[in-house]
Amino acid sequence: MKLWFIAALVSVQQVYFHAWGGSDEVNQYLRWAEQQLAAEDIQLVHVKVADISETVALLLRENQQQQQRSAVDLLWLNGENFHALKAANALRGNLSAAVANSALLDPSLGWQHDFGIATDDFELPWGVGQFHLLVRGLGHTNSMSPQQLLDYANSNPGRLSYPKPPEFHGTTFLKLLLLELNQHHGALYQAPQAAQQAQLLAPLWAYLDQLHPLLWRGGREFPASAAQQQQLLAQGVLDNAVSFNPSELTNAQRNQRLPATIKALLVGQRAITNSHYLAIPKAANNPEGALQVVNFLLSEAAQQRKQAADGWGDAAVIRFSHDNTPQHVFPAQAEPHVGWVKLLEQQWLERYQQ
Amino acid sequence: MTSAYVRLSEAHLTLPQSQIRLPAISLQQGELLAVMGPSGCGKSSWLRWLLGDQQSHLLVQGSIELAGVDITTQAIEQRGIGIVWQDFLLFPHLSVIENLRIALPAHVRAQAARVQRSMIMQRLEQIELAGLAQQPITALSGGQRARIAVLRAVINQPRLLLLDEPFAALDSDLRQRMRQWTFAYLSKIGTSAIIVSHDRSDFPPHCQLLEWPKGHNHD
Amino acid sequence: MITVSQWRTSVALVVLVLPWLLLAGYIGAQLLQQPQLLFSWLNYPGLSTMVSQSILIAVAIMLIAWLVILSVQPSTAGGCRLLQLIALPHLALAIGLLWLLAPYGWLWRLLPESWQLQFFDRQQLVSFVVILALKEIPFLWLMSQRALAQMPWQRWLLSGQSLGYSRQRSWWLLVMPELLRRMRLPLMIVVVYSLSVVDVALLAAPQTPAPLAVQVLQWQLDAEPTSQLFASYGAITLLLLAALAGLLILALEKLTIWQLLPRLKGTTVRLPVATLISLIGLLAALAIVAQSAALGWFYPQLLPSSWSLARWQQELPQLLQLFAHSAGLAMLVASISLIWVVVLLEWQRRGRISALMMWLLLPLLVPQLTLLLAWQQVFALLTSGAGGWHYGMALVAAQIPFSAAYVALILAPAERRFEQRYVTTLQSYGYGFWRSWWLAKRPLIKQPLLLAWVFAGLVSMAQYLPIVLMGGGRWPTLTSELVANSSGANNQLIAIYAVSQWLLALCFVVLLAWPQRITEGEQR
Repeated sequence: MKLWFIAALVSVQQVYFHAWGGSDEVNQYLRWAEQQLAAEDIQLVHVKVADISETVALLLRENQQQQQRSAVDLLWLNGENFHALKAANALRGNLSAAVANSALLDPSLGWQHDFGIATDDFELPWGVGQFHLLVRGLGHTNSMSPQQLLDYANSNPGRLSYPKPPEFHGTTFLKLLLLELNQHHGALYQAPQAAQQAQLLAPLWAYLDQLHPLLWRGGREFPASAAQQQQLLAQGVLDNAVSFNPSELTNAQRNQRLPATIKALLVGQRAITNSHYLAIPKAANNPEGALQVVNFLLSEAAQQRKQAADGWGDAAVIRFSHDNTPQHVFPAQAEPHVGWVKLLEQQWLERYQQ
Repeated sequence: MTSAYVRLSEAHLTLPQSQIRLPAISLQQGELLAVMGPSGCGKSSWLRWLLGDQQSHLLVQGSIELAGVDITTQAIEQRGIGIVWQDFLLFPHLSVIENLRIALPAHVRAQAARVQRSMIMQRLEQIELAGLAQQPITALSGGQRARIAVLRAVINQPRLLLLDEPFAALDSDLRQRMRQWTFAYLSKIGTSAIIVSHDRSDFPPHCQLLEWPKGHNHD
Repeated sequence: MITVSQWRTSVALVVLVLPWLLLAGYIGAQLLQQPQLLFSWLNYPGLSTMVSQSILIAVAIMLIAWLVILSVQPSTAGGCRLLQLIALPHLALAIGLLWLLAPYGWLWRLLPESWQLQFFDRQQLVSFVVILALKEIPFLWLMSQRALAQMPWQRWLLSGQSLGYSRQRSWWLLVMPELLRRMRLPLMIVVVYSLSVVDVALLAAPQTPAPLAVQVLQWQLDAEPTSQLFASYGAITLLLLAALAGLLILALEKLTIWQLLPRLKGTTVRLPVATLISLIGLLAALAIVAQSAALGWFYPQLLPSSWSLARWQQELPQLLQLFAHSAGLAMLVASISLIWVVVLLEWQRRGRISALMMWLLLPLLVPQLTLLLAWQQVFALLTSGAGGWHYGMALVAAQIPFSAAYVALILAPAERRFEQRYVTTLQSYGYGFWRSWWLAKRPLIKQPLLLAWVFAGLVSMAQYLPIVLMGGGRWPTLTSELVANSSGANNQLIAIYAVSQWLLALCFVVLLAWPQRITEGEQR
């Protein structure tokens, strides 16, 4: 770590990578990447943030002020944060042309759209998330229909919950229920039309009206984040948590953060699948370095290491030269159209936060 | 009067409640000026103005000349004027000898500690307080404090010494002795001084006397 | 001389007022965008509950703090134990207490299930208030002792007794009114903190809906323009609530002095504050220390399945670097803040700087994220494309207003009472002003200076947002790592960083135990 000071003086190429710092596995993985990149004379600095939207707020402000050189070289993001930066024209474009390893990306994974918005080469995928539940004492069940979940809640009142929307795990839970309760109605993959909104949302609200009284604190209070819910699960207060990382459970159990009796569970037959991405601010101070880091992170070695079971365990987004098996742990479920998200979040708040 | 050592021009004092016009005053070297007037009418503030201590509640139009130089705009530390406060204000965190050492004139402070010490001890012996040199200030009686306060002011060798009701804090018996001691001491070392008091008996018989003028209330 | 003091005053005012002009510009620009959205903001789901919750929290904290002040006794013993609690970071205390006292907590695992208290749990108003109160009581106690040290209360008691009042009645009639007056600002700061705190609120306060400050931050972090506007409305509402709290504190003080104190007669108000609170604090700290070395600790086991220091060892290299960053930054920020406030207060003596204390204390009354984003523009001039040292400077500069506020709070009362003629006397011996200050004033107000420095350091140490927003992540600290880790679910890692942060803060607080007496200079 003393290298850091020396490096500051002789100005080795630093790349300031703003990324969520709440996961030990991710942090360890980035430490490994740091060591690997040192050989390429790049010093990767992981700037750990509690919420990447802090960085996004900074970038938007920098962009608004038309600052030439940003404090951020690279960031890890997806969804709304990407939309905002893309809309503000704050990101560097044409990434795939500048990143050789982007040729390895597996186009069948559906990363070309990030929560329903075209990535348009303003970000490159880094990994894949699949939404699922972590549940205590399930026996051999791997999936449940919404009705079965309701029955479970009925027989175990006060033991289930989900993160409070608009936290994105919470919103994803709503999206999943919306799809399942409407038998994956085609209109859900289109921008919502006024005529169908009420009709398609009604089953969801009816379902939640039934479910909420059976949840933790009678559904009047929800965990603030997936991480907090996972702590409640570990402490025995809740019987479930939610996760986007199919390896999270294995990791947590190996490190004795979650009891061995907990299992992964799908609601419906498939897991909502989306990608998380890397993007470079338009005003990045060291864009070449950042591109080099992205190239490394998309290399076979880095992607292999990332999905290793004793590491982060995050699914790869590239096709490995020697192995063409599909990467997904769970069958993939596409996202509903982004227009529904806003409706879900808004109406959820109106109904359940008064 | 061209050879006057201290020359105060006619001055106009603006206090929050009143305005005061002071006549021009001159002092010869070694001469004593006594300023007499009731408490709370601006005498002490005027004294602090002479010292160079700017106060927001007092505006003075006038000038001070010391040894032929106009010092009106000089900072306190450049004027070479010393003061003995009514409440002495010896430094409570320092011993007697440290209180005196801190007041030595700059050219003595530049000399070896041994020289400084012998100079202080010599002065302390003159006022018969050498035995208290190492004592903390808190261990001193009122009279002892008063003498140390005067000594501390003169050891600095000021060109002009200001005394602000220097005996007011002492009881009457002690007060009488302190007066005699102080004026004898001042005349021995030949320092010019201005003493301010509300009590006529605080002044020595032979000195220039100024009755503090009555102020005009603001209209 | 007049021009010099005018020059000083203008410099001071520019430096003091500029941050607020930037803020006004920032908020103003946002408000002007779409004024019609105010209506949809007012209809935001749960807004009224958010506001009323915040008010409830503030009022509860105010009343608790008021009781604490009423129960203050001059003491030297007992209080020192409270100091270790001041060092315990808010978030660490919250995590520790919940781990200890929540229904699934360590303490309850010792007792039969039917004994469990349901009211102290995560995301409950009561537990949030309890945690805030526990954290603020030592601060209030310390400030009360400072205030008492600056009052000749023994003489007042004697004169009261000589008039025929009992000692206790003299205490109520003569000492307490003055103590209440002097505790006005600390009380205000405690209440405003309870209105604006976010990290502890996310853990301990209800979330459906959350207290207003939490929602303001969430709006602000939501990239949508509408949310930004909502955040500004929310921030202004928080400011209004803070102003309201100020009025309420004044009213409570007057009511107490006019109505309550004359009726108290021989009553004594005693809370077993020191012992109980230091015990709870110590247990919370112990709970975190235990967690930092525990593996597989699940309900309802009394002890983890194994203890291990492996994680500590693994983190040690990072921890040492972060420790150095945090300590260095804290010392630098504390020293500059102290010097800045000392200079301002000396200038203030020579030429009035209007509303100096207000300018200095304002940073404690405004949501921090709003402020930092408003300042970002200016800081970018310093940091844009520059090296780590520039970011370091920006970071220090951005932290100073928050540290300086505490310096002002602690130092100003002592400074105001200082007999400045001590300095004048030394100047008359030929020493320059600042040399006179160093020789005469510094030793005489050593204790408040040290206390202010330590507090400024603690405040700097606890900063998270400036590290990310102004420092661009160039200078991570124990706190920034703790906050980042706290957003995850790894309890052991969170505990390791919380314990480290606590240890660093303890290093600072230990300085306060430096043997010293309150000297004559500040008792005037």
